[in-house]
Amino acid sequence: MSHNNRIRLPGSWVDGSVVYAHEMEQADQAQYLALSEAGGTWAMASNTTIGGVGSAFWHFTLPVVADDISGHVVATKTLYIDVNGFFTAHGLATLDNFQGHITSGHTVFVDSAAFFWASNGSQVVLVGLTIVAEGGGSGNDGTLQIGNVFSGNGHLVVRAGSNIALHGTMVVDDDAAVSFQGSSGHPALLIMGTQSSLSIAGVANVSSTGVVNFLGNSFLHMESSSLLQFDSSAVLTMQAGSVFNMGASTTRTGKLIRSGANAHEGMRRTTGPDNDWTVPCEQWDTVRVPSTLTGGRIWTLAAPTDTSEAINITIQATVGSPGGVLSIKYGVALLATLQDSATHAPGCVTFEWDPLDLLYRVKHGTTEFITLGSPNESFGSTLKIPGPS
Amino acid sequence: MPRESYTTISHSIRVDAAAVSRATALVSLVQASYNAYQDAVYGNRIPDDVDIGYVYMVAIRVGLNRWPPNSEAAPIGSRPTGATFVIQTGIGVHTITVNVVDADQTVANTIATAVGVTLNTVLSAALCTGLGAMVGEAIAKNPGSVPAFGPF
Repeated sequence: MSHNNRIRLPGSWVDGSVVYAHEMEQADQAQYLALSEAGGTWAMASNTTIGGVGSAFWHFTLPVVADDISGHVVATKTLYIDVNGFFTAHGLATLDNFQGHITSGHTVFVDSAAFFWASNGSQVVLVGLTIVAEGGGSGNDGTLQIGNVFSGNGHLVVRAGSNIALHGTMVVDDDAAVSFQGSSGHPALLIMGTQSSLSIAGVANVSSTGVVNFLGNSFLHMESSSLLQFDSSAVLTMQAGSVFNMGASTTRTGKLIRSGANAHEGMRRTTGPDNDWTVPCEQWDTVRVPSTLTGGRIWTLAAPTDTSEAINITIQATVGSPGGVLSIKYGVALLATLQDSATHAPGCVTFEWDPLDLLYRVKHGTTEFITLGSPNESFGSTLKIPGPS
Repeated sequence: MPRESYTTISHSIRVDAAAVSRATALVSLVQASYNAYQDAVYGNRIPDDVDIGYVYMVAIRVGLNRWPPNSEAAPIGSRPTGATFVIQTGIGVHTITVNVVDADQTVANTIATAVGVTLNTVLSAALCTGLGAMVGEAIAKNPGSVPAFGPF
């Protein structure tokens, strides 16, 4: 029933008709119950349906206050907020099975000190959306915060196939960490592309099971004043077949233990000229005298550039007749001679720089009394130290 | 029949010759009143189609209004009693078929139950009383004890 019933059916109010008192009573009561332009309060005893099958609008030009409204926009119907209109909710808005759109060119603003809040277990899926944490007024920085507002941890999860692109600086704050948590068959990677660099101003720790791999053609570049440090009990292992190229000075404060058949030390070796010669003692470990000298020669040992280093130099005669006497000097001092001898073994002498007295000393050498030991050693070059008497 | 749609129930009730005469005279008046109603409500009219059957139907509503269901709010003496529905002799009494709006039948049933008479007795009294009221016949001051017209 949509309203008060008719007292009489249409057409039965005819001229001359008797009107009962009760009919007038009904009419009076109906007007008493009707909404009035004068205003007032109506307590509806049951639901009131406006419209029915009609298509008319209720048009309010005054504010409407709904103190206890519970309304529905039923299926296929739409509640429109027209251009320049507002929908203001000071209470909670619960969106059950809600699907909404913000059409192109329009914006949802979250004002200062307000929050867009997704509770525990919910998801905000942003498809093709760019989030800009833009700097605010008064020099405030924009912040995209993965919260730890309560006790739980916040996570920014980047799903497979997705990327995070940083076009600025990422700051990891106090007590924070960037963690790579790979699993078997699913490694987590930090990939530094071409032209990118990783600068570590703090400490980089690799855990007890962690590995830093340098793949093919990559290298670890230590710039000036940088330090690669192995602490106590740390081990640097060079696997067989690997090469350790060291063109710089080495200071070793620990012992050197050689082990295995290939732990020998290769010496620098050359053959000297058939001339008087200043021997570059830092350049060579062993210098061989040419097989044939065309006359007496004087080789003068050069002092080391760093006179504090006790360098060694070995002069080694060739088997056979040398053809001349080789005198070995340091400055004007004659240190030794390799003489032409047919009855002694080829001579060999090693000198060592004395950093305190700043001169070369004979470290060891063959004696002049060693005779030929086999037919193949048909000629020798007897060593005399310091020189011929 | 007029453009409104009602759910009706057909009943055979007895009327006297005066009732039929009044109904016949009312057809044109009801049509005129109905046209005025259409002008106000619809803003247009359908072709005239009020007939005596429609007059009977609306007259039953008018007659039932004589005995308001809410007797506490009704004028003194309006409450129907057994005396209200004493069968009268009449002249030219015969049976006609009328369509009763379902809501009116409900009211008539309530009265019939309360008073202890048949539904058709109440409807006969309502029809004859309604027709009398519509033609302006004087009615008793205390309708609860004296029926205006009928039943038959």
